[in-house]
Amino acid sequence: MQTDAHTLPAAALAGELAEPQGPVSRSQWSLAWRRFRRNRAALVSIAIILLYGLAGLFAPWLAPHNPVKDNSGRDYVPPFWRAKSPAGVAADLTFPLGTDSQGRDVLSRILYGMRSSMVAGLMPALIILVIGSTLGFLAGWAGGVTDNLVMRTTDIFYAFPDVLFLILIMVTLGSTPLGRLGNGLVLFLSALAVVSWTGLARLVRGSALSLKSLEFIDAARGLGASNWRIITRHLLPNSLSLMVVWAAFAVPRLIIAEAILGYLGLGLRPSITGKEFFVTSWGRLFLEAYSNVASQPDFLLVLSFVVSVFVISFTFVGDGLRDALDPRQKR
Amino acid sequence: MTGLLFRRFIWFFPVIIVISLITFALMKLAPGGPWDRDAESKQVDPRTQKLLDQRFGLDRPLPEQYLRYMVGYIDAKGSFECGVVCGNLGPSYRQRGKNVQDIFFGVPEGDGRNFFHSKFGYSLRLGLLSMSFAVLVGIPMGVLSALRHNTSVDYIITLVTNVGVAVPSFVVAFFSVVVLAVGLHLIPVVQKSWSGITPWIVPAMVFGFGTLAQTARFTRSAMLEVMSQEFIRAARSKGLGERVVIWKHTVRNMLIPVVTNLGPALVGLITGSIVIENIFGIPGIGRDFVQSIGNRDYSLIMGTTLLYAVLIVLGNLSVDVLYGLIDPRVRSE
Repeated sequence: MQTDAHTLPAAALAGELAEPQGPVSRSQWSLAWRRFRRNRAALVSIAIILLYGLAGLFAPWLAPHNPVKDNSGRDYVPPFWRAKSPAGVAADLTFPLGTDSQGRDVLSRILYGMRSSMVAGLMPALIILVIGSTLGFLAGWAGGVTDNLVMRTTDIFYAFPDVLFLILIMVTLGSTPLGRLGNGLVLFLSALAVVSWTGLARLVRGSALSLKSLEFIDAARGLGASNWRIITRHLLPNSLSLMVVWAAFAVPRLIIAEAILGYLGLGLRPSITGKEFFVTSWGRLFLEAYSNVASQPDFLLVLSFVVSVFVISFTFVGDGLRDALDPRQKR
Repeated sequence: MTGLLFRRFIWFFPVIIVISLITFALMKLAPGGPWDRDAESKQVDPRTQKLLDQRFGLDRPLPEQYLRYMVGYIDAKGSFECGVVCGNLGPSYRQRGKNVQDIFFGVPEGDGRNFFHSKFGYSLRLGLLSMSFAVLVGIPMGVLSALRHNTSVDYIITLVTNVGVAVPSFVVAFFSVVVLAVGLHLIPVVQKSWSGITPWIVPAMVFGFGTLAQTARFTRSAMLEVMSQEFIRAARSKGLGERVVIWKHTVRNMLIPVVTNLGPALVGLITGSIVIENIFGIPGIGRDFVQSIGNRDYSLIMGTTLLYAVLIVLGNLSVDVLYGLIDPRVRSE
């Protein structure tokens, strides 16, 4: 990733030269889109991600059952492709993916879990994009003491065992008022952001440093552009592709972080009434599915499959974006 | 080279201090204390609590508590009790009569028990086995993929490594449990004994799979990069055998970027073990970490965080050393 930062401006130029200069001028982004379109895996992945997103968004309309309603006597119903569960319960097509230990519909729960996991992936990524890139630009552009301060801070965070830190924050602050806000979502998002901003800050700083030495920045400065203007009009647009690629790889990582914490029983608080926006999350479902794996192995299987497809899609999109935005970088 | 290592080593201390401060602050922010019992069971009466607080110094002001833990203090008899600086991670608040370092490194009683049967030993075994699996399989896979560039072998390896990089060990572990344990009954869902190599195979492969994929990918691209360079063509044209060209000239140069990427991988293997130990029930250091925070076992929480932090710093440092060993150019700097 570090090398991206150094090759980027040159790569952007190379991309410009490689394409034939037609009569219509094309922007960097439309050129990147043309390259991205050729990557079939990435296109399919985008479609899958959109599908997941829509499914999560419209979960209340798509879910066949109430995700928190216990159907007594209907527990451990196997999914449709199995005639009988290990306990001998016959499949029931009104529960396409079966039911869990309390007779709750698995499909509905996965759909609802999708929404919290989406938010858990996207929100911290946005927060980090703002904080991390600001600090990165600041460090790279200002240099000197500021640079040293920011970089030494990232060094310390880099040595901090991040899973450990997340667990620590969630357990210690989980029962405080802050931890209760929005079913624990607020604390959870901030914890994720605090733990993972360093990578982006380093990346952006590297990009700012290498851009800083280029002539067009000197020219801008010579024309009397303010620091603010140079950062927002020159450094930011030229580092944007780097940030986009970072985000594509960060979102699945964050979703998995949520899943890990949820599995350890530390993530979002499950809702009992079903009134809240976040009824359950994938992490919570992993915990439930794993504790009943002997009686209902298919729940864990389906869940693992759904989550894997999602994170793989993000990785393919990330690869596609990197190739499209930085054509000189070979895989 | 020595200068670089020395600077890295000095940097170790502020890192540990800041990490311990953050951990300490978070612990103390949390409501409750180590003497609380579960809501159902009998609570420790206030007088005993006070005595316990006094005995463990929990009645002192917070900065003093921190210093007592990190540096040490003079006990009632007037002798100096050394803290973390001497490797004393303090008495556990929940496991009576045990120091945290005994919990981590203490060898359980029994015949033929050694260091590898301590909690740290279990975590270490998991980490080392996963890392060896990743390196010993990943690098040859990457080399093979590069040597058979754009053939079906290359495509299959690339597909496998793409999946391996994307799907985290956390999810792979669940797959392995469902398929291998519940579906095919090849392994038990919960291992009873961890002696011998057999029970470790699946956890180590699951845990090492991500690192393996990453290593293979780095190896492949580094191989291709080196193979396209002039000095390889020069080596071939002066009549060197293919084996010498590949193993002596290409592989040795390719290892440099691969090794640097093993540092972050090692760190990932160290910190990721909390979840894997939890899923497979391996009695290592990570498994009971969540419980120790819930118990407010302050010294055990601090001890675990510090131990992991030290391991991460050492992991990064060892990569710097390895880097110097492989690349003579770094040594001369």
